Amino acid sequence: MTSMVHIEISEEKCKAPRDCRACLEACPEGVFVNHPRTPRAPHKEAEDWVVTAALPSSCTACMICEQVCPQGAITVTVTV
Amino acid sequence: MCEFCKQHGEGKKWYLQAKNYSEELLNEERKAFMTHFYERFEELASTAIPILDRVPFDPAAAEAIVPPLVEQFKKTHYGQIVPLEDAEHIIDMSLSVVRVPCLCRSALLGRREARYCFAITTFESDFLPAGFLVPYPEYSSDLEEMSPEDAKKALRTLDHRGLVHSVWTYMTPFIGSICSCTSKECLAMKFRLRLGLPVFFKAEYVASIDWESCTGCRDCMMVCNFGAIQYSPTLQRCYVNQRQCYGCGVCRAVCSRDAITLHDRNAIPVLADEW
Repeated sequence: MTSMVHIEISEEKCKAPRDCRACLEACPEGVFVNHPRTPRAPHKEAEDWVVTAALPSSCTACMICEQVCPQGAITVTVTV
Repeated sequence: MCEFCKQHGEGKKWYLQAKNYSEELLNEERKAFMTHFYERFEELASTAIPILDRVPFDPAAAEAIVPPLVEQFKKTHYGQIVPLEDAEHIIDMSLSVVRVPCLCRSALLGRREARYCFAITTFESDFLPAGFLVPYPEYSSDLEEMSPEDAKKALRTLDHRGLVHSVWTYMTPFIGSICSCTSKECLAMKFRLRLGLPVFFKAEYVASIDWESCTGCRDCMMVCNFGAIQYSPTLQRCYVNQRQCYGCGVCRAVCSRDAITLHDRNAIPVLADEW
């Protein structure tokens, strides 16, 4: 039996991904990636940053991200 | 010996061979490669991340994709795990060391201030170890010149935290940096461990645990990035799965009984092809 993990990040609630970093630091498997919303030219600063669950296949469903997110922006759903 | 030792080591470990750091190798092509590498890293990472999530390659695809990719990496940017004492040895060979922002952590976590990588040079140069990064504001504000003593101290601290050290080439065999990483944040380790695409060699060593000294506390097991240490509840001891051991040696630092030692991988016949 394989289980699937779905990680939902509410952009409405996740207001300051660049400064907060809670999920990025806490995830033991490095599932989350923080990146400029649109690819930037080399060596240009980017304004609009976003956190995505870019590597969901690494997720073990430990739920630490849900616990550490101060905005309650992350929902992890496991379907069997 | 690993392939690079045979090709570039002349009887020594290739990364302890002074010629692989020498000024003669720093030609214009290599300078352009290094600059391009740093300039384009974020872009390369954003291409690689979606591929990393499709893990592992299915065997048929892997057969076609992996060998040519590995050959390409071996020519351009390839690494090898080195234990702390070899990393310190390299620092001793260096003339100057600059701690630079980790490219992987900045691409994955958006962290430019995460300085886990040590750029090194063994000769006077405006370009190295990190002179070529000065024109770029997002790198230059986070460059940290270090004395060799401080660099070694920093490496020891990282080692105690369980971070794995590795050396990296910029157009092989030229070595330009030492990284300290874990599988959470290192793209190279993700490539190898998740995707089955080796972009670095295992170390020239392999760990073993002394039966008499081991108390079965499992501290080593917790720090191993490669899942190479197992615990037997029956025996109440830890033991090393040598095929899975990468020889980084960080388990030694956390062992309160000094029960773990590294051995020459080359002296163990079954590991002769395990790189």
